[in-house]
Amino acid sequence: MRSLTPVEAAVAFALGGSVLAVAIPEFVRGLHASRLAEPVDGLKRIAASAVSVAQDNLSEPGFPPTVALTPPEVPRGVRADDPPGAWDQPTWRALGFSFDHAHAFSFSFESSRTASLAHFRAIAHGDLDGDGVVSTFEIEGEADSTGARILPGMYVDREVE
Amino acid sequence: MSEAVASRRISSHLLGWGLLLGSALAIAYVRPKVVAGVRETKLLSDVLTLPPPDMLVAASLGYRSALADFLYTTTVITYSIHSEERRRWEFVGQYLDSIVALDPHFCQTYRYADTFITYQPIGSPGPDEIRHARRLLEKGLQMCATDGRLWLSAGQYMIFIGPQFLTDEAEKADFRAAGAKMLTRAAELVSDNQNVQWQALAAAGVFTREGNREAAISFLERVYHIADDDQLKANIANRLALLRQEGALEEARRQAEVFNEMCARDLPFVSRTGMLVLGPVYDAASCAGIGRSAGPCAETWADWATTLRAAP
Repeated sequence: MRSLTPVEAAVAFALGGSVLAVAIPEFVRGLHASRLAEPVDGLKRIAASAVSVAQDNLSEPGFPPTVALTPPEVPRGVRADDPPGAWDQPTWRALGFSFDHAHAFSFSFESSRTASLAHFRAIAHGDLDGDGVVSTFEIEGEADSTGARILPGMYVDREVE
Repeated sequence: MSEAVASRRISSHLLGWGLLLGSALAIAYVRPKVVAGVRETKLLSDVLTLPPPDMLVAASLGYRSALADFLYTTTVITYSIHSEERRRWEFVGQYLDSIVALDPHFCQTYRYADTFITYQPIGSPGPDEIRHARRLLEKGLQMCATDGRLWLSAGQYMIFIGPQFLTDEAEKADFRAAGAKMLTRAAELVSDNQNVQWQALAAAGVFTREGNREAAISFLERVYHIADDDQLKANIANRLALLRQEGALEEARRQAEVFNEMCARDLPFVSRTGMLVLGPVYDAASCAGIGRSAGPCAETWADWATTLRAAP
């Protein structure tokens, strides 16, 4: 079999290089972006569970107590397994929220209450590119004597960091 | 070899390497502009490149699960890229429909369906999208009937998330009623997450607010019998006692109202005590089957109350 002439090699290099130059960044971008489904779905699950809990006792509306960021250190550029017992805190148990696989985001839950209104904010932070700058996703809800509800929409800041 | 031939060969090599170098430089120069242009073009709108689900099934040539996996991955990535670009992805429902048409038992799709449709980076979903999510969830519950987490997630969506984007009050009530039934099922299914039963108790609240106390009691009784958690059992026992007490009070109130109406209609000049001495109105002819019965045909107030309780 004869070898490629320099012209043929140049054409092959140009074509192959063009394809790779488009495909590799898109693949990396897709891989990076695919992790954004985690905070959105996680916060939706937390919010739905929180209003379930509050709806259960409208005579004294309230959400589970505040719980700090879990895991405390936001994974930097990796999907990390949680240390044992990370989700055993009573609030996470009440919300039925945990991960049984490696994940890229840390979650917290803030709860406050006045005489007539209870409010919660669930927060997710991630650092997908590992540069120390974190993204923020938030969802809120409230409860009073008429019912518990998730406030429409989700606040997102620096999702691409 | 003559000098001329050697010279041509060297020229040819130089030309080749020159072309190679030129190509590399051209790529380096043109690529960023082209990529930027492509991204700018994509920012304007999306194009649905999928054929209808039934055609897609035929086009899969039998590799339905493989194509469903590929489309699911595409969906997750595309949803996330739209989140990055802060754009709504209007075709997400069609992608999900295609996946479940290819592989109806791919439960992961149903678990994320409501999230993908409802939580888009900008704007709120319209009623049609909410109904679309409901259809997908209901199909998922048929296909993955033993997935307790899906039942819980679907029930919570129907009660707490979907209705807030609907405008028709009757439709909202219908969503909540359907959601309560889904939570009921979630509580009955065995799960490694004991918390499911706690969260499913919200169904009792929905049934009660709908005025369907019997459904609430029935649901709580079922959960009570299958719950292992003592704290949960105690909680349910308290609720049941309260609901039954409220039920008894409601029944007494209803009897009193019917009794008062009857007194006012039949013997308005007789006191309530006198009426109790006289006994319930008894239309002998009607109660014997002649003509239309005008009352419960009870001869004592105790029978009257029993008949009334049995009436809807």
